[in-house]
Amino acid sequence: MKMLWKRTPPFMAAMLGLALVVSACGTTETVTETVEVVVTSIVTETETVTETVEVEVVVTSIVTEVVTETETVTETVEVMVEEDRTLRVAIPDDVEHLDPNFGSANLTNLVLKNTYMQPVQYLPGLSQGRYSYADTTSFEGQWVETWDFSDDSTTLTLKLRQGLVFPTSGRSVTSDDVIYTIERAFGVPSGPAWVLGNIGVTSIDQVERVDDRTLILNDIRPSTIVLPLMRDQSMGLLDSEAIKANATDDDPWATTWLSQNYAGNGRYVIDSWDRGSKMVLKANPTWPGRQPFFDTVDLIVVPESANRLALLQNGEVDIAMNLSAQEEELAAASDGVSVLSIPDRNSMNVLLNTRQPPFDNVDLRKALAYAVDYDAMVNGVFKGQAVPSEGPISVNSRFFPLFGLGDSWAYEYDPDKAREHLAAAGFPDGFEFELIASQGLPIADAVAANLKANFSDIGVDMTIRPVSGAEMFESLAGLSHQAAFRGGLLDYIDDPYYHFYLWWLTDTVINWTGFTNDRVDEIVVETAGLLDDGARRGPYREAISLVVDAAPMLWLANANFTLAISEDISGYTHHPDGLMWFANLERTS
Amino acid sequence: MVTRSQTDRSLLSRIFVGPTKGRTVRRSIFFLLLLVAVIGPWIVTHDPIRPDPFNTLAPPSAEHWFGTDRLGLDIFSRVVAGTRTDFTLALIGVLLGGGLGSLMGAWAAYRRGWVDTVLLRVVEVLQSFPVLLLGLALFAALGSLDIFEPFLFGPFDDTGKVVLTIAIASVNFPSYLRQVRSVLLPLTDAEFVQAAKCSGLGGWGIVWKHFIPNARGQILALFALTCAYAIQIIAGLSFIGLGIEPPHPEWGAMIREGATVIIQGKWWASLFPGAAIALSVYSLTGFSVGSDTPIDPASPSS
Amino acid sequence: MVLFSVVVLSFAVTRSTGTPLYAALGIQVSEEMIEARAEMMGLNDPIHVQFTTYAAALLRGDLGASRRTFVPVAEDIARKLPATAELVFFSMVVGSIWTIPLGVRAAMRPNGPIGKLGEGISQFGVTVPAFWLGLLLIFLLYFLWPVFPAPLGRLGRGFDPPAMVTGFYTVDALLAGNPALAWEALRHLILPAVTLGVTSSPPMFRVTRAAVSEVLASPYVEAAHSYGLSRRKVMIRDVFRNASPPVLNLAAMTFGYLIGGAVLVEVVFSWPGIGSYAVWGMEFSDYDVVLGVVIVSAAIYVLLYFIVDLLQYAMDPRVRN
Repeated sequence: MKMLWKRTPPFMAAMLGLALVVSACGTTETVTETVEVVVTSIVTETETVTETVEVEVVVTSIVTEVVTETETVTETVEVMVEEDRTLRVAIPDDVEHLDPNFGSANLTNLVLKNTYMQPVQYLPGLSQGRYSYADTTSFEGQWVETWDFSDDSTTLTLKLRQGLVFPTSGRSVTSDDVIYTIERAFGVPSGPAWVLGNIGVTSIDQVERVDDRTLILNDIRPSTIVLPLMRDQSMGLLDSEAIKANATDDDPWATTWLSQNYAGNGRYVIDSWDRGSKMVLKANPTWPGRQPFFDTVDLIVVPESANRLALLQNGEVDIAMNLSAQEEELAAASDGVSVLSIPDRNSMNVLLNTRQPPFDNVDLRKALAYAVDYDAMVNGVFKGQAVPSEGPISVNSRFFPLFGLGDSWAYEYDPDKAREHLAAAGFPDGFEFELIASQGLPIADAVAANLKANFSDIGVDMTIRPVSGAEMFESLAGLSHQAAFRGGLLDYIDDPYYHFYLWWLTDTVINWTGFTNDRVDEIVVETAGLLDDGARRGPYREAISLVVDAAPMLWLANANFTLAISEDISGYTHHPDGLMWFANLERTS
Repeated sequence: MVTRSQTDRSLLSRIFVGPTKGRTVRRSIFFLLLLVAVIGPWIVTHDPIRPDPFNTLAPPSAEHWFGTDRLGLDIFSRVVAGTRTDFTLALIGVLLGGGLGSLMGAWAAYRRGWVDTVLLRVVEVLQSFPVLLLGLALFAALGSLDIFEPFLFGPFDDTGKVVLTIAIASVNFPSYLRQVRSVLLPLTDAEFVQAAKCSGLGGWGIVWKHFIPNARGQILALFALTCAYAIQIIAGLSFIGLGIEPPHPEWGAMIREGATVIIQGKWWASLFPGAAIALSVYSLTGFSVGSDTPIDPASPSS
Repeated sequence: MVLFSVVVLSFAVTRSTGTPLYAALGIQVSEEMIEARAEMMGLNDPIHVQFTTYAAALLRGDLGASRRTFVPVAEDIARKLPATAELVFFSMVVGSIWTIPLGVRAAMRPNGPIGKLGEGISQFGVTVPAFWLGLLLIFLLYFLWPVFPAPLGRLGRGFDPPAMVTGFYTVDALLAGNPALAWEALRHLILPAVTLGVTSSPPMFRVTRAAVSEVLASPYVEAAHSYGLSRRKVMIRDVFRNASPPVLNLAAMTFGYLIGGAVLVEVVFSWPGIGSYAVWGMEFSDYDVVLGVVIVSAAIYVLLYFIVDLLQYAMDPRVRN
């Protein structure tokens, strides 16, 4: 008891003060309803309060009596007030590293996107209620203040925003930092080199330094994806001085140092990183423009999804990432929690290797395409949080309705047709194959088990082999799998050129099906420099129908992007890359 | 290092020995389980690997006696079907490791000298790996290789099963080797051995005809213990995710599935497979009854 | 000698399969990037070169680094080992609480109720898989009846770990003068410690019982009785001292075994120890991680064995012959 007394003087003083105030004005009516109390400034000395002002506050010591008349507060009152400006996110495993050049897992990319400054970013689009989509046709400059394409779009002049500073050192940003960032990309070599290569920049010689804040990219390839590529999370601006200071002879680009240290000036900075347990981000005070609502973001590692759900339900975290469909159902049913289910371009596809048996035979591929029970998949496995697929480009892409890309879609659940194709292929009694599936991905188990049952109905025996992420990558890159499923495939940029370039061009890096078609290759080359949608429509329609007809993948569904989030968080803006942008989030009471 | 091997051997017997009382009950349970293992596929109520995506995580009911799991698979059918899987893998693993181990143990006891030393060293190395980490390491190495392709047949139709069997065998090899060796060591100079040598019988012949039969009792006693232990190891490894091809039923893997939802109160997915494991181990203790009288830890043949 | 074979075996085992090359690079890759990375990781060197590099590094205490996070394995293990050690320690405490008293009593009265109780608990601990028991306890004592905190690790969300002295949160919190924190750490320890303790202690019970009854039956104890020494004195003086060696022997071995063997319980309770670290490494084909944990566990096990043998040699004259 004694201890308790010792600790409560401020509280007692507050209560006493208020009691005195109330008793001093004998005729005051006691207001018993809750009123919005707004405190403009917390004072520790006497001050005449002459008006009530509106301010939003979460008061930890509850004041139930409010004086509605002006009163001179003559007592020293200490009121503790806290605004909950910390966003707590439960993440499935730790961020791998902090080097923007090596983007890999979504979680790592998420942190890199929010902590490093990219040249440009999407503007938020129209609100859809509890969320909005990013407007993929409009950009705002981040470190780029203005951008100017030459008439033939082969030269891009970038003007660096003035007044940018690296928060960790206080040093001003100059075009030398930009040049270093690009040099490092080519020097290491890594991610952003690939991005730059996509717009035709393959060497540092194409980057011309005009002055301290002006740069010109020469001989770029005109394309609809130049600006979208410039908002990729691997294009973050690096603090050249900080990194150079930590370079060694063995490691001239300081890859070891940067993997564990922060050298950027993003919307948020990395305040602390307790490896394996928690990472804390703080709003960057030097960011030009409005400060975000949440000045602190706690990323807490909670490996088990059931535990993440429990924390969300208890109110201990605001967002629980990567929950299973089951858990999301439970979350939606809990008080104070909701699930954002955003129609998205996330394609749940099975990748078939067209370069080796058995899937070098198009009839076998088609047989499987007709054997999938799509309805059970969408409504059962995905619990209705998905829509049926209608081809390689998602039904939710901006270009799907625009170019009428669903016209050539042919597949539906039809076991008889499936058997016809089996017979046509010469395997009337079925065949067997192996599907590799990403280990530890709950949706993969469910999808695989259901496919196995579907296929056994037509006599096809599929064995399922769970593999680690590393092994999955190797098999896919080396085309050593027969069939593979690794959850949703999401193109970071919503553009058909990007899509075809990544997936369907012969031997392109993520052509994980081995698909090759001369006409499709031609189309990709033809459309590369086209900027006019009208001109692109025809070729892409043709290309899509060629791909659909070849059935190199089983397009199971377009799953919604789902996020289990506390009901008092609003402002979620959904980007095409699916990576959350913390700065737009707000807590409403 | 005499002390170590003594405590070591008797350790296993300390673990899985059961009281003599009530052993008939336990033995009967075991034979019942064995029966289930054999006729399993014919008494299931649903297809153990056909998911029902519209009926996931349903509690036990008239239609699904043990409820359904996250994928909508019927748990009762999977527990029953899993009996065959777990028993087969355990049995074959123990036979493989135990058989080889016993032979090598007898050989070491007979030959002594450098053969003995080398074998003992090998066994020491194997035994210093904690069991589960040994399994982990084996899966890391062999799990993704295709070298087993040509050998896959019959009940061993996937790499996971093969690796699990190898893991069980590796764990049993040292125990059997040591046990048999220590029993037979004192007998090397016995008269009957000398007599056999005089009669012209070669080394292996002596080992096979005269040595091993003397260890028979010990080997059999060890058999039930190690089978029980094997079932636990298989379940444990599958629980971490190193197991047989999904979605084939196996108790440890089922518990793993159920673990993700137990914190939400869905208890049936983990409870029933775990009960099956406990029951199996319990029933096996009916065969390795120890005495209720205290065992002397210092004597060489406990 | 043993340790060396362990190293060779582990190395061979984990190098014989694929490498997390692509996982480290992600999908925005080109051929040159892959080549450069492979070179950087030393994957193009012949196998014996890879081994000697590895072994040399090992001697310096360098266990390699995680391929995903670039954090040195030795550092991670040093950080996580205390978590496992604390769990194992408390498990043994839980185990000893019931095995020693019951074991002694059971030895004195073999067919009495205490003996039967002890035997019953042993049976239970043996038949029930540890991870299943853990899940059951979570269900009963967290979900149904919220006595214990959520199985999310060593501390609740609002708590920060105490300053590192021993690595045992309970001890360090007390040393820092923060009993509330120590209690919080203890609350999180109870369920996993009970799970691990109950399932790993049956041998302890039997060995205690056996050792004590052997000593009780020995001639000099009878002689001591006939001299008129009180039972109590006999117990303390002769029985404990003579029965201790096998019990302590087993305790040390169990400890060593559990360091590597607590994997399953760690996974169930999201305990950040070396066991769950190895499983995590396994999931991402991060072989240096798995290798590191295996080597360290084996080393600890071997070390304890060695110490135990030495102690036995010193303590027990019978062994010297």
